[in-house]
Amino acid sequence: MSPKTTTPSLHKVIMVGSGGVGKSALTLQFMYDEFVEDYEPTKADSYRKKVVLDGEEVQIDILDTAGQEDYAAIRDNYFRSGEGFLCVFSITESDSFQATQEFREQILRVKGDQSVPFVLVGNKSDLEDRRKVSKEDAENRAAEWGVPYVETSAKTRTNVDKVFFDLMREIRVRKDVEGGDKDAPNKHKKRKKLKCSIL
Amino acid sequence: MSGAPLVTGMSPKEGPPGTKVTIRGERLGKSQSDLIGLDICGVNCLLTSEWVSPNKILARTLLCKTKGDIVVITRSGGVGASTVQFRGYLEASVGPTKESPVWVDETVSVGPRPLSMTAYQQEDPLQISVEGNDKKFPVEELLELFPEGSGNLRSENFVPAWFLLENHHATSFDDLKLGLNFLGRKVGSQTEGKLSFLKENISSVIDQLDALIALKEKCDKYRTKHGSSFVAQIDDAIGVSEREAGKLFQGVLAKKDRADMTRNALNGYQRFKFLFSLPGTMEKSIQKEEFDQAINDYSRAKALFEQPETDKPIFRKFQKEVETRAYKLRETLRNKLVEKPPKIEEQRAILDYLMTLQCDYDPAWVCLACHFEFLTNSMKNCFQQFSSMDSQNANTAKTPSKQDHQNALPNQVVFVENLCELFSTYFPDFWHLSQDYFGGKLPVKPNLSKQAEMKKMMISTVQLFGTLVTSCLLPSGSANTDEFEWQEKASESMSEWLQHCLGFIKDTYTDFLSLDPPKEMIEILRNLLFQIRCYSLEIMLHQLSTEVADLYKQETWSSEPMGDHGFVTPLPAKFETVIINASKVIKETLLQKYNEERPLLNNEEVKNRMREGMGNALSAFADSLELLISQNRGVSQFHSSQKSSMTLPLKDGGLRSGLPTSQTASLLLILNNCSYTKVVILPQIYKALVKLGYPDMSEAVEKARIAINGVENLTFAKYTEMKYEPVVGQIEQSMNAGRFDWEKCGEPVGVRPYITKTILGMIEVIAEVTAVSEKLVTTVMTQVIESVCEELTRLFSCIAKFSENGAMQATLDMAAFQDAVSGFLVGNSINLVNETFSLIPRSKEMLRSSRRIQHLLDEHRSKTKMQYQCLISSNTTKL
Repeated sequence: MSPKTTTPSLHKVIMVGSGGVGKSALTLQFMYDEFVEDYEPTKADSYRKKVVLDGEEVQIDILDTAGQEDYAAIRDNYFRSGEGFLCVFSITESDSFQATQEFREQILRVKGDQSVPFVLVGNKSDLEDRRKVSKEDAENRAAEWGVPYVETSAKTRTNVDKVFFDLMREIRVRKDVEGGDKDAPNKHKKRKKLKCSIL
Repeated sequence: MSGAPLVTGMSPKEGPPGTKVTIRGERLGKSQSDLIGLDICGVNCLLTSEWVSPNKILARTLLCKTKGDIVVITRSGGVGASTVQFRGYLEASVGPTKESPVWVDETVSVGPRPLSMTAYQQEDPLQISVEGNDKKFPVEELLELFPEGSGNLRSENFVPAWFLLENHHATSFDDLKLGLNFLGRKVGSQTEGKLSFLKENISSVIDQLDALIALKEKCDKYRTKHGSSFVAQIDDAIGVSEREAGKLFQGVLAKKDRADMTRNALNGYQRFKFLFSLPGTMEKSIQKEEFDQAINDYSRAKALFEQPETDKPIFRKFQKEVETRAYKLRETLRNKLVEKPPKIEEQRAILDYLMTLQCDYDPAWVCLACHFEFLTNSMKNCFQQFSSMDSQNANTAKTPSKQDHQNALPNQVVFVENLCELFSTYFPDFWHLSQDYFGGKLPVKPNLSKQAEMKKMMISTVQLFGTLVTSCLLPSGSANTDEFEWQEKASESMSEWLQHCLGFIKDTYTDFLSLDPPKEMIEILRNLLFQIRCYSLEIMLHQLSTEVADLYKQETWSSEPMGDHGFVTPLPAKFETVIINASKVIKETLLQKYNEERPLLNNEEVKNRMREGMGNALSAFADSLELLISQNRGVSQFHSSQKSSMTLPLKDGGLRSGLPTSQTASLLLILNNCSYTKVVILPQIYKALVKLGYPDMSEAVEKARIAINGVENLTFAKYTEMKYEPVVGQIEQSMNAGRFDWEKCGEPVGVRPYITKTILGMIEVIAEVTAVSEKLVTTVMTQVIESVCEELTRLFSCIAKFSENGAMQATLDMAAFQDAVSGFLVGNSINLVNETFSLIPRSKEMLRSSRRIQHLLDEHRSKTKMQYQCLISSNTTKL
């Protein structure tokens, strides 16, 4: 079965952020258009599906990590495999916003790359009345890091697709730059070959 | 194809057997019954699966040991695929009471680690509250009651009665019954639970049974093949593998040990890294003069070196290094202290450093001693520099900054200036430092026994200052300055700089006082000031004398009537001004009380000296006047050609200006000045001095008066001499005019012209004197007339013989003379006149009897009426 489907490029996205900010909710909303009301702490969930990114079929692999500190030690391993990061905090919880700093640092340390694809996500934007983190602060921080900042709501699906797609675009751009001339023609060849065989 | 299930999400993506997972995806079946297969990592988990929706299945993983796909098989869609994987792993620790449906490697979890019993003992099987069980049932009794038993739930010889007695001997029966009920329920549920657990995991259990059966079969087969010894073989094999494992383990252990050692060493290095680089950093800090840094580092290092861990040769080595650096630093700091005393704050900082460096001496004391030495040396050097400098190279050797200013100054002044500056700059620091030292304000513990020495040092410093200044300014001999001899002694011009110097010293003194030093030290400076002031007083008075003595140069001979004193030149007034101004200056600079200085005038000796000086100054005026007289002579000689035409100007009420009108006139002016000075100026000066607060100066004034009297007398003598000389001189000449012979002359026809000439001459004198001072007329005339009388007497006594006519003539002449000057005849002159008469034979009878003489006398009288009038009136006015 698998050989028949083309092997589209795979973008590995990792959800990071404190516990309870809605990483899993965002993931599930993106994956299955489903909003989970009840809260069950995640350990480490894996999701992967095909999506069409700007007319090109790609695969997105989402690693939904644990926000709880208990799992902090194993994060390094997860982060290593990630190509792009959605750093999520809850706009109703300033601690979670503070924590993004640590996550960012850990990611940069593990990846050793200042310009790793990264989106700062302020979730729970539907709870405007309970907002604790001002948009300005978040934007300032994002500007400081040189990353985009998007406010989302897993409940209303606001900007959910946007953050994932934006991040994937960045990952793609990044790969194109990195892969340079080597990868690109290779892929083309493969694709052509495969197409031929299908025909 | 498109209907095949597709798993796209796994939550969680890994876990031990029995993990509850959520499987998400597409087309995962239409119902529970549609779901006909679920493999996780190749293990069929269908039994545990629970279909929720076509997108979601819940399941429990079984013995999945590797990473693998999740394959969902549905009746409607067939065999599915997954984009995600699950990784199964075995949980390391499965306790003996933890239910696990899979094989567990018990050697790891059960083997070496004994389970703590306490954890189980805490649980009371009856679940009865143990509150109120304070009273323990004695253990000895229990041992007696149940010698073979035990209260431990886990032990084989467990005796329930023991347990009950031990734990619940105070519990009521009802409670115990309730407990029993609970226990019963619990046991029931456990068996029930076991059953359900078996049911849940039936496939595992069956697998396990299968495995056991297979094992048994294999064992049986083996036994039949190899006999019963196979256990021994296995045992051997186990033994071999154990040894091998042991070796491996040892190897690993050794490696681990080495790794640990390396790590420890690295840690140690990290920890003491600072120590190893310390010598270098200290050196650098010292070079950069960042002593703070160096010393901090050093103290830190010291603290570290004191720890037991650092008692190792390598650390000792570094400690040695560090100590040498610290020693060097100490030396550097010490040198810094000694070199040239820095600012007091800096000093303090350095002392602080030295104390933290724990130097073995008292740095503050060293510092003080150095300061002392520095101060002393620099003062001495200053002295040497300037004292050995002669005036030629003085200008070049001076500091360039002050050159312009100092060029004009004599060496001594520059020296005093520099010395004062030195003293005022460094002494206060020295003083403060010592105060702080003994006051305990320094980080150093003061050594109080050194106080006396300190005091000695202080005093010697101050004394040195005094000695140097003294030897520079005061004439040698006034102080015992064997050690310091100023090469070039004060020149004349120095005296005017004394004030300047005094100012500096006073400033220094004020600065010094502000330090609030002990009395002895103040006394030294006070003495110094006193001496200098005395000296400068003397110098000033001397200068004053010179100035006064030089006053004559300013005589302009323009005169002005001054009341009774006749015409007076401005000279006495100038004299007064000079004296009073100088007195004021002296008072201001020397006599005024200044900042606890000793008042000069309290000293009797000084008073005397001052009187003397003032007397000299005052009498110098007399010298000045005297000089005028002698000077006048020259002038008059120069004017001698005009002398005849220079008649005395009449008073026109105003100033008579010009050079000495004539010698005689100026003499008269001098006379007037004398008396004016005596009568008016001196008392005025006296009063002024008293007003200025000078001590009684009557002696000085008296001295001046005497001196002036002398001058007056001298002048007077000069004057009269000058006056009567021409008058007297012409007498003989005109007496013998025309070869007049007293023996052969004819009968007298009138008074002979020598008498009339004499009288006219006298009148001239009167006129001149009167013009200057009427007062003097009598005195002058008496003198003049006495001289004239003397001359007449002399002349007549020379005449050998008188004829009758000659005697008559002589008598007539003398009578006319006597008549004319009768007003001025006193004492000696009367005698002389009488003597003259007696020289003339029969003069008395003739005077009485001869009509002719009477007649001629009357005639003469009427002829010279105006002249008589002159003589008489001038005389009577005086009387």
